[in-house]
Amino acid sequence: MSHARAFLSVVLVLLIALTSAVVTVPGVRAEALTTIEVIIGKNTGTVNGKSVTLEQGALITNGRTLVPLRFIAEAMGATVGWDAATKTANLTLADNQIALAIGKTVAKVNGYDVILDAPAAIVNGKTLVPVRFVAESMGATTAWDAASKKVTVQFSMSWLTDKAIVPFWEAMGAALGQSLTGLTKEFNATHPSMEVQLVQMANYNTLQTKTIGAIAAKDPPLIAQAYENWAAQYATGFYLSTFDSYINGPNGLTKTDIADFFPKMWDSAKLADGKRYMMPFNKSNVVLYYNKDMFNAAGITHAPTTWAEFAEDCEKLNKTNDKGEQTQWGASHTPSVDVWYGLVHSFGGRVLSDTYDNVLFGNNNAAKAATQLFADLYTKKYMHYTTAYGDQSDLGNGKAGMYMGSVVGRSYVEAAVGNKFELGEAPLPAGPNGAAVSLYGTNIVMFGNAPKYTQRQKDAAWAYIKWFTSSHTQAVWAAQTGYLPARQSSLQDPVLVAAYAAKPETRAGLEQLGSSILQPPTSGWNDARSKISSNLQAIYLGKVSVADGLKNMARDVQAVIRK
Amino acid sequence: MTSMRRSVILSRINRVFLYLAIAALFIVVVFPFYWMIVTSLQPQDAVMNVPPQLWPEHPTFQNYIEAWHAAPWTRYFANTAFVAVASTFLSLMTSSLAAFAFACIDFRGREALFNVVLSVMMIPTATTLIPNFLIIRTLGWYDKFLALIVPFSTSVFGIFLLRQYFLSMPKELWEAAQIDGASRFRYFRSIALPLAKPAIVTIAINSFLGAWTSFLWPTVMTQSPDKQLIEVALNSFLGEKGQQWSQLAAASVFTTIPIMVLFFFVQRQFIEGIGGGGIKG
Amino acid sequence: MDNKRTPAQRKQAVRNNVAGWLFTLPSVTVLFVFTFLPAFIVILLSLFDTNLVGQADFVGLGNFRQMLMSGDFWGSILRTLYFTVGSVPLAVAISLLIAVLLNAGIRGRAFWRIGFFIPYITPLVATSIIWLYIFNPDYGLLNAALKLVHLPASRWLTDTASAMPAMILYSTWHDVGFAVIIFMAALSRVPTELLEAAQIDGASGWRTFWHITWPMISPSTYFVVIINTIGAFKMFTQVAVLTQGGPVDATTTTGYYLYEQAFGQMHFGYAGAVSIGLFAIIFLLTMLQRRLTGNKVFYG
Repeated sequence: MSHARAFLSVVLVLLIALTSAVVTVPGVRAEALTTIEVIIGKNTGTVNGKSVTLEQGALITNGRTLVPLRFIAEAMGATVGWDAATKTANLTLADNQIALAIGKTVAKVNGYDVILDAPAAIVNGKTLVPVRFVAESMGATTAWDAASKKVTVQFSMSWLTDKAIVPFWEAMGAALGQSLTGLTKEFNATHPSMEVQLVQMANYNTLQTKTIGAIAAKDPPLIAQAYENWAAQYATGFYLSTFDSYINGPNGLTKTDIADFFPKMWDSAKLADGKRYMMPFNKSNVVLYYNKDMFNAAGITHAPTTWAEFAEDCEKLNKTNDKGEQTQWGASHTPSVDVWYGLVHSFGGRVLSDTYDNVLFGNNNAAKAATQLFADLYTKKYMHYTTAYGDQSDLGNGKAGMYMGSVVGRSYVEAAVGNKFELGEAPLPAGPNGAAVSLYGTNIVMFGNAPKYTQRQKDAAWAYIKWFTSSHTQAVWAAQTGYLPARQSSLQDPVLVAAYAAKPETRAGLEQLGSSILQPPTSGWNDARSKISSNLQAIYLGKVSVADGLKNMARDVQAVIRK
Repeated sequence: MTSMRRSVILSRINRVFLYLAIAALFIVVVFPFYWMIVTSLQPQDAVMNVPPQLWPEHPTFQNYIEAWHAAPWTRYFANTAFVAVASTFLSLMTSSLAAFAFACIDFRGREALFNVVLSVMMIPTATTLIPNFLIIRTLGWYDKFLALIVPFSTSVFGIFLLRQYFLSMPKELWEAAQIDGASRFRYFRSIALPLAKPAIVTIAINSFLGAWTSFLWPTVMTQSPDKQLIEVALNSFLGEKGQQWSQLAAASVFTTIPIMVLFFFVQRQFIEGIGGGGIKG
Repeated sequence: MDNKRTPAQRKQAVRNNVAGWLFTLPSVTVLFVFTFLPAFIVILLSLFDTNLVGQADFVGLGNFRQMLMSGDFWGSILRTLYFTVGSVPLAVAISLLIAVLLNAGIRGRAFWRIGFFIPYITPLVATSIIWLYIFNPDYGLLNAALKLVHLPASRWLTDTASAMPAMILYSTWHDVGFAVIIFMAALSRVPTELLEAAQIDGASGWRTFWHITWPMISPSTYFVVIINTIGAFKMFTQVAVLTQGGPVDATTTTGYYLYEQAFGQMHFGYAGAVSIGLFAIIFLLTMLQRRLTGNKVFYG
């Protein structure tokens, strides 16, 4: 039969090859490229090879290279204006405007504030400006050669008219989407040769199926949000690329930068094979939202700190009327794989083995105890079984005292609650074995190996990701949305400090970071999640006992986990 | 009481029951539409009330305004109209030509070809979805309007229906036209087609409706926001809005109105086309 | 065929052939490329485990073996059958009832007829949305109505036991109008003399219906059953909008299962095998129906 097999393989390969024939070759355009070089300490610079004498040479301050303003501006074709009153240099190139004030670490680019590591300075009567900042804000690229201490700036006017487009597929809806749109607008304005185009999908499910469809159609976006297990799926195709070359490249991340990422988030960006296919994007965890007024009325003084206490509180808070109908639940909960995952670990159980190919919860007492806790609460109706955002609605309508939701959902919960009662937010309760909370949320992946994207576009995508994961942007992102900042230094950023000061309880998610656990970054886990979800629903709806339900779940998960 | 009188009273009571039964069924069937409109006029905080209000206390058009601004509906309407009109037009052309051939031209392989064409109806769209995805990809039509139009540019139902009509045309008409020196195509265009107008209207409506309500195919074959068709867009809207029923109802209402208006104008032909044509017995 | 054709006749025959094939060419090309060709390609596809971009391992009948041993696949077939058996007779019965009532000589037939037909022409997504709201177990209209008449509430789409019945209810509501039209037309074609004769003979309404009307409309009944059965097996949109196959997998019909395997899990080869399996089952069912009703359909 090997002849038939070979024949069929050839036919299918031909078919797939045929479809691969439709490949768009990116247009090669003759660009009028300007190359500017400056060497630290020397008093000459070159523009397109021609030497130019500088009255003041380039120097390094605070790790940033400063070059003479006039030199760089004229070389790029920008006009310079000087406001003596405010000691501000104004550069204009095409529609773009930069305002740099001497000695100030905040500059303005096209109306947006940008924080500088090193401000503009006057040295020997000449104005020096940070070269990387000025170059990038006007659409140029910079490269640093440590050996020869040389800065190379490259620029072409066509880059401003023919921007590097970065399609970004995401599923940030409503308020989150507004924040992302605002930040993306800021990036696009301060990086005039780049344009990140957001394509918002209706929800995560759609994002995944659309991305899979696009990959299969050989037409993927350049960057997209993806969970770790989705990235594992995508990695089986041609197009997913790793970030190492960018991290270690000319516009990369320093060792300090890398160390500044929260380690759990930095680690979550790798797949099981150790390859860094992702960068952190919107990490969050689940916290406990509760009705403080309802708690007071029932004599409960604080949010439960253990699951046992949680169960007791549910019992105290639940109310039935004389017809035996439930009028108030202690908590409402839509069954969640993420919550269950953390729950099992907090009881000392495990879900999968370290190599992600063996199920460990099938006959495990800790897993049983953990699941039993929830199952009992559902059976006794102290906890309301809900679907979708029904649990959030219940809390908002005063029908349930507690609900477990994402840190990011805070704005939605506040909207649901309105002025009806005082909202509380606390870390999730701990189990007998301590606290364990799923760190979830997506990362960003880049389909850098897709032939339709040029190097300019990919560089722009990286510039966006680097900017988005920088300390200040993460602080703003976290303050606006409730996501956990990816950078530890963001916690000292005034924006985030103010946000946490205004609503101290919103630190609950951050406080849980230490007890974060990551879910398996394998494509088999993708299938497994849906198996866990269906079995959990069966257990919680009382269709099967906890022991049997977990056995079924283990069997189902084991069958798919090794893909 | 005379038996005549009794039967009159009985038949009157029967009539009352008849009307009651029909009215009850009618209300059950039509109520969701009433509910759609009521919900769209309710302020958002009233839609989760228990028990639900059958009549809005404070009706508002705010939902329509918000829903309309929440997504580029004009683009979606334009896309859908374009695809619907194009595929309907092409469908009529290709199907009528083929039906004419099957009915009036004696050519080799006619019977076999017709049976093959009919058997197409047996193949479910689910079976051909993924290979069609591959074909569309190979043609380079992924995420293009071509993918939404060309595969629907012919209708087996249309071929079948029109063939019936053409078959019922007397042969003398063709012979007379031949004497006048008309070509086959001329005969087709000037005589056969006009005679089949009712069928054409039915097929056109069917095709248009199919394009307007298409969901699975555009979901799989397109990705860009500017190519979305109305049903896919509405489903995305559902995903975005979650439990904001009043806005969702408003969007459901205004995406349905065009098809309702169209239907209002063509309902007689459509209904007669379904009931009267093509089904013997 | 007379082989002693005149040259003129042969020329005409050639012209006929050319004309025939030319006229049918556009239509047949489209059908070939988008219906026949895919049918062959899917067979080829089903022999591979592939994600369509780079990974394509030949597995021969492996996908079929996996499918036949898959609880999920057979579960989806059972659910599809459950849906079909639940919705088709119900739709036929209710629409026939409505058609009979409308035909009994009430005024404004056209008006009533349109009303019943509106759900059918309204796009599925739009009506699914309002039914999603109606089905909501906490504040939806249905449960409010049930409470009013002191009947127990149902969890409708959110419980595994009631999800499919809810789906059946919705689909029946949607499809009723189409069959009403068909039946009304069929009923109007029953010769009145036969009905009058029966009345004179003293037959009751029920007997008249069963022995005269029912056989006379049987081709239409058969037609409605076939159309609705095929439609039930192809069903996708309602599942995608209302439940996404859930809760658990209570509404994962084979059509939806197939989509999930392809576009949710990237198992395109396996999905191809499932689509062939689906076709096989539809084919078997149609054959079965034809055999069962073979001698009961009266063509007059």
